Amino acid sequence: MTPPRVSRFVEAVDPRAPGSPRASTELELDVDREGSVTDARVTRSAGDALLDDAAVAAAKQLVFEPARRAGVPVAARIRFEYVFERPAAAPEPPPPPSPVVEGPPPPPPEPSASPAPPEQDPHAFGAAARVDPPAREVTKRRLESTEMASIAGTHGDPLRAVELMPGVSRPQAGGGLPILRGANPFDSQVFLDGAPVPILYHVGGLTSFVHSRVLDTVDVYPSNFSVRYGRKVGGVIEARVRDPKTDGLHGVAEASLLDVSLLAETPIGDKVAVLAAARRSIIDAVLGAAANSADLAITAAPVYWDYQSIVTVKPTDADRLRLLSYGSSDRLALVLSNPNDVEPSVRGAFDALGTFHRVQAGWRHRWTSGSEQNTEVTYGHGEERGAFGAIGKFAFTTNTVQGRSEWVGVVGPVLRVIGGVDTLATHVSGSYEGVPPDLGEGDPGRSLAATKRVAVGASQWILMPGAYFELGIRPVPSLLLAPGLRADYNDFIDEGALDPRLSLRFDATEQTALKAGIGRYSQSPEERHVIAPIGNPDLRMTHALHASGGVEHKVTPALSVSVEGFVKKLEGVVTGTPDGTAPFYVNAQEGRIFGGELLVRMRPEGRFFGFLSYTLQRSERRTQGEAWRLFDRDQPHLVNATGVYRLGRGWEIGASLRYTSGTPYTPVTSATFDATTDTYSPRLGRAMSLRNPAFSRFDVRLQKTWTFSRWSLAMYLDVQNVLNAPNREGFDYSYDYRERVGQRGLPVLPILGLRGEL
Amino acid sequence: MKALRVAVALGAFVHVAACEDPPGRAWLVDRTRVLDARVSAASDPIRASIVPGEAMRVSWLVVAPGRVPSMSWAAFVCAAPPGRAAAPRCEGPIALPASGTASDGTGEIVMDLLAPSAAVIANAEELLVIAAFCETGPVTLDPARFDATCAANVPGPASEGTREPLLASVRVRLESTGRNANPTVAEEAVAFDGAPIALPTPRPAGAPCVAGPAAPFARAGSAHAFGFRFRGSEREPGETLLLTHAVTAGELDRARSSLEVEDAVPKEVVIPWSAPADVPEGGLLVEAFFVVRDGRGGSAFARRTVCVGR
Repeated sequence: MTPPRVSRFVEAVDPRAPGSPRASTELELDVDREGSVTDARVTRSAGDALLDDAAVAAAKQLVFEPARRAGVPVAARIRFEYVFERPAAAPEPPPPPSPVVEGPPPPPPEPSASPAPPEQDPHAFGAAARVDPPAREVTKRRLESTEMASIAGTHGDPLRAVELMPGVSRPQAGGGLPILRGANPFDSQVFLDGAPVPILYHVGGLTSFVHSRVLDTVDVYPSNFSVRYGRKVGGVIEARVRDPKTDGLHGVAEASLLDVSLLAETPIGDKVAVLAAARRSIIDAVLGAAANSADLAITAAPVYWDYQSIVTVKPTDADRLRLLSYGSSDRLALVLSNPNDVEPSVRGAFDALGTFHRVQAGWRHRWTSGSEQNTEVTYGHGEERGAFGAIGKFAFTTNTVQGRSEWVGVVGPVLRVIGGVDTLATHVSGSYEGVPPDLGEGDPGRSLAATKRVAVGASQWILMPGAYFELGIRPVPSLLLAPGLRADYNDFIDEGALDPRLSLRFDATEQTALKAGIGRYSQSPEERHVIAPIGNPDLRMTHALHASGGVEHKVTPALSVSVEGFVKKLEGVVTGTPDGTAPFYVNAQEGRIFGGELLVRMRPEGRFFGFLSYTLQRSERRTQGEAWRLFDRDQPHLVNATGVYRLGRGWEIGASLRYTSGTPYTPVTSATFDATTDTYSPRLGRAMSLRNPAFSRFDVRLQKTWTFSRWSLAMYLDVQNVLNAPNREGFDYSYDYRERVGQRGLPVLPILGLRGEL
Repeated sequence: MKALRVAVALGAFVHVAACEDPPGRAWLVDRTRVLDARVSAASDPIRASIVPGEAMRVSWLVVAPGRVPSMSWAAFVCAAPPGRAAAPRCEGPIALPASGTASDGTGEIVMDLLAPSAAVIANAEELLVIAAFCETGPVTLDPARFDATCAANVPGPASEGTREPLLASVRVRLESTGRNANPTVAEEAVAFDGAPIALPTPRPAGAPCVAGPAAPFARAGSAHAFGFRFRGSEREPGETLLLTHAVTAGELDRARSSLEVEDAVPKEVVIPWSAPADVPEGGLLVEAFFVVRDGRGGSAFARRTVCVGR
């Protein structure tokens, strides 16, 4: 007899104030042969009718893999326990309860699938593990709010924590998108609740564009992502915001040396809840007028701001309407009064401004059968302006409309059907004038002054409709097959793609699962490489084949180990023509990436959480007719370790260690003098034939929280690169390339912050 | 240095890793190097744009911390290779190669060349002159690779001269893409501590000196300033002039200044300079070089001297 297993978990809302004691409600659930809960009864009260009601309401929305006898689905009656915890010191969203599952009647009951936690440690992380259905993807790594806010070296930034996951290489200093399993960062996409976002980090990469307390989860799909995602051949990061709390007014005010922020949320009546958050940098105040001199005038020091607002309406238990809006802006302006000694194009006024806004309206409906319809429409507006002295200038306005509607149908215990449409329409207008756009990979060193300028203007719509379909088939209870197909079209290059994908998961035991997947992925060339007269209108899509497989094992409900191997092959990658001759860009490059990852992870339970990971990989590129060379962000060894421990009395300490191989670079062998521009043109040796020294960083974080009856106050010190490792990022060359010195990476950087929470 | 501190502070905030002084000092002539190439039509020295098949003169300025050694040179003229970022080289049809030797010690090497014909130039937008200079003996220049070797046939030990060739190129504007004139540097354009410096008599840098109008005095280790006066008449409408300055000793504040399109003229550029602290008893002649470029192939250069004493 196989007991029912939760395939979709629904949190019960804890209506009590933070700091309320732990409580639990025990229920008896009737689960039919299709896995739906047909009835729920309280068998042991939590002592609070509101808690019991919340547990019953949530339990009726649970969906199970049905119980089976000899492989045949049968109805079952099980015992299920919702645990409510509202620790005051860490007022995260209400922790999900632990289900306790018994076998169907008649007795004897089946053993518990996830026993209730022992008596709660008052200083422990207050969440039991979230129960998620099996991932549709071979590799899905989830960071939850409890983890994201506490990891050392991220100063509480949720998306910075992503860089500590296995398979995520270190981006170049100054930010940039994470490198997922050796892919070009431009080949990966970050989504916020299903909508692609244009940036991940504010200027300089110190912090991401969204308030950490707004996010619920961040999922990383380093390869073999499902058909839900398309238009990229690298990987996907999806951040999801949480719903506003419904148990009263809450707020968070935070200030650090980088920025100040405010978050407030409250329910309005029984069915409506709202949340609003805003943040602004204070770097300009820190730098102040002292930063200006006769040679360099910072006319606008780095300024960033962002905001998020969420309104949820739940007219019925099965429906949720949500209006999500968010935006971000970054600006930096300075004036160099004299030309740079090495590159004379670097002179004059530098002013960069990037702003975007998004408004997303969403409706989700859940049927009692477990089926679900989720529809989101997102409108976006963005402004980008930049003037870079004698190098170039641009001004672009973008308007986007993105629509996604996904239906998840539970046809029966052996079949789940997912279908969706995912359409993106973008209107771009603006102009660019300056040096030609680079490729973002393998660009040879060049003199900007000696590079011919280009100019382009554009005003047009780009339509990219997409649709996908996936089945979740369980021919036997322990095996999940997920074949899928995604179709995409891009009217700018008049090309479509059909990408079949398949993943499978086999639960060898209750604790051990084997998984594998293979799929095709397609990506359109960037508009700047296509648009005439600066690009090649005949560019085609890049395609990739991803294959991966692995095993994951749960040592305990909180401790897991996984080992995975992966391969990516790319074809038709866009590369530049030699010397920048027409047609300037061609689909002439191949790529191959392969490697393996080990992850040991302790989820937040008790006083500790953390993970240890190691990645061994290789990423290579080859242009037609040439030998394979290293991809310019190849990092063969990635070692990450992080841990957070609650000492008690409100003290929390964390540490993160990161070690990665240095990135390859192309050596400069000599240089010739260009008398027209007064610059030297470097001559390069074998492409990517040398490597920078390894990167290492040790970060620590110490936090003290004082808890009062209605609110709490936390002070934290987050110190990046405690050991002040030099971490060479590249070289600064002398004007004639005869001498060079290493560019030093980020020095020790302490960030002191104060956070009050209501 | 304040600018550097600011850059460091800013760099820390934006993760831009550039926290150390870049190596090499472009404003210091501490080795033999090419500083400029002035192209002019043989029939009109002011004109920097050339007609296919026309005779032209390329005047190279080679500088050194002392007397400029005798230099052998070789050059080729060709249609510039196509592409937005083409490395300088002469592929395909190549016009007449040229070679010679300059030994007057001034470093001003003049090449009289003939521009390729229109048939050779075809659709090229500009010409390219590539040149190699050797201290030790005859130079062999490979135009397709723009690489050269220096023969070691000078008398004496090899250490008296480097066998590494100096490689330099200059693009030549064609008349068909628009006429261009070379900028000019007026005699009184360069000043020292506010007073114009007279044209110097040819003497190698590093030699003993006696202060005078052509070599104003500077006490060792003292702070001074060179000045450069843009009159405005040296540029054509819409041009930005880039001024490169370098000295054979001491410490110059920077290597470049500019006259932007929007700058009002006349414009006085001030370049702080610290005299070297250690000078021989007989004084030290310091040479200062000023090169003006218009970004369209036109250039002019000037040289002045300062006498540093104890």
